[in-house]
Amino acid sequence: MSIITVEKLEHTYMEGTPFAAKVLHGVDLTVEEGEVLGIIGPAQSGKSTLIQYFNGLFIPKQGRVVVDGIDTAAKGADMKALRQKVGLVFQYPEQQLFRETVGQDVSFGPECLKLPKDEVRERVHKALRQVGLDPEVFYNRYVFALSGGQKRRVAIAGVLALGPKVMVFDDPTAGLDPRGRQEILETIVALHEEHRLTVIFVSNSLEDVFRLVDRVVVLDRGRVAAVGEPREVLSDVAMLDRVGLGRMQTVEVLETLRERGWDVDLRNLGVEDAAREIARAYARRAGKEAAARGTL
Amino acid sequence: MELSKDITLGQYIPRESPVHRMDPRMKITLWLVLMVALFFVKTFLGYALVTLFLAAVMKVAEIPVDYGLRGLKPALPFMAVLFVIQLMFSGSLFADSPNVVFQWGFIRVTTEALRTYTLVIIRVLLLFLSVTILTLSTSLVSLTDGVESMMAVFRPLGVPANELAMVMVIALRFVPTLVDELERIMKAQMARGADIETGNFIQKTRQRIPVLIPLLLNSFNRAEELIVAMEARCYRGGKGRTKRRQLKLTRLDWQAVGIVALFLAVLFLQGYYLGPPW
Repeated sequence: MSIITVEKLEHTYMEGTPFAAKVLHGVDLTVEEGEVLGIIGPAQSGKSTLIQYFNGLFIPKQGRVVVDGIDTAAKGADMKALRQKVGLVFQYPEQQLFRETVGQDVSFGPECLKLPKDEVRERVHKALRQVGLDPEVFYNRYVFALSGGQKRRVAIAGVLALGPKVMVFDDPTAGLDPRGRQEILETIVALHEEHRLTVIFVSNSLEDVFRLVDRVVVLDRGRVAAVGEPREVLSDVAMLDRVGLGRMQTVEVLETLRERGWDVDLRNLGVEDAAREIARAYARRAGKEAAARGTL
Repeated sequence: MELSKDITLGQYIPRESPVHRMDPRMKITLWLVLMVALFFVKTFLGYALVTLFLAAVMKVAEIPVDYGLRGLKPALPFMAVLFVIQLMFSGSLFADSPNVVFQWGFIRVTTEALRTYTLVIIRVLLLFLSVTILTLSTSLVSLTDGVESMMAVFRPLGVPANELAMVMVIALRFVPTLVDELERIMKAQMARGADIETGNFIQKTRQRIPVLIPLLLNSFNRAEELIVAMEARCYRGGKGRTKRRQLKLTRLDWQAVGIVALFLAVLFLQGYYLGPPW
């Protein structure tokens, strides 16, 4: 069952000014309940604009966006309820932290919902655990004494504390060191596997997308260029080149071999799969050469 | 939600119009002259003439009228409050006027007060519009060059011309940047449950806190980065700096002087012969 449906969505920034720029040209898209959907595309492809439609920060003027049965453009659509259902984590979310301690900051969302005190506390504890921060240790820590990766996880907890069904992450690993990246990715996997959240994952790293997602959408200058399984989409070298996205390292290696006449299948994207495929192709080649020598 | 749509301050529309091509020094001078002249206009007809003149300048500068006017929109509520306050507390200024429109306790509104303060509001809006036209048609680089070279006159008095120009330019330059940032933070807080759009005055003020704190913090970080970037490029103020782009007055500038002088003459004559009440 689809939880978000986007139909013929268009968006123009600075409409009615000399700086008007159309960034979405009729996007159609569905997000299935319980899946991890990846959205990739080069800069200016409309990714960040698109995701702001998922929780009603933008209301469609052309096209339709339906989230869990709510048409976001309908009069009297309950925006607060919508934003509770769809949690949106922006790029560099640690910049939105504004309270002294971790506990206080994560409480902000539940407090806005006017929940009773003990429920606020309970939600904050749960959200902190969900992002892998021990509430006993971190609840009273000062926000500004945390590392970049920890701050980011606190910010994610701040959105999780609203109790969303869908979590949208806009480039959540940008600017983090390898360890911080790893922790954020593990957090996202856990949210999906243990807490059964639907996850929308926007990223510039094809490797991360391949590891995490069930389905991937490629945006190209405000249009959907491809949708499908990561194996198929991320090995479609012609499409990736046309859109201006790079390639995964494994694809790069396999494609180079293919250009040199090796018989390899590009859809072996995982590092180990790729290694096995290369070994197989090597064996086949060696066999062929031996056979060729035999006939001579 | 898109804040930047209504902010015209600090924006620049690149075009090749005569207004764009003018020497920034002359443009700023004429603009100052017009601003001063505005304070001597005391009739509706006079303001109508100024409005027409500004409209003509916008036409020549290829600035879309609706975009130019858009910048006034955020100022309107403020203007309305100002208007009401002035009306309420100005009774004593027009104490001897018999034309009372409305009286309640010490609040006494007369036709004279209404007329005067309507004119004041129009004047402020026109001032704002003229600044908008100036910045929309002048790139930041020429604006700095112009301001700096004009302030250089005061350098013997110890006025740091280059530094002041730099301060002005940085302030203008960061208006759009901060607007974008404000929008981003507001959206981020809305995404985690903040209700920024509804509520009464006190609630609304309280709801600014989650927005203002990150905005201030980020601004300080930005300022620090800017300082480092300037240091890294060996910025040491204006001393000993030379310029690749030399400012030069051309025929165009003198034509502009002629046009403005002609307009001021019309404005003066109209005020002198037709005068109040219109």
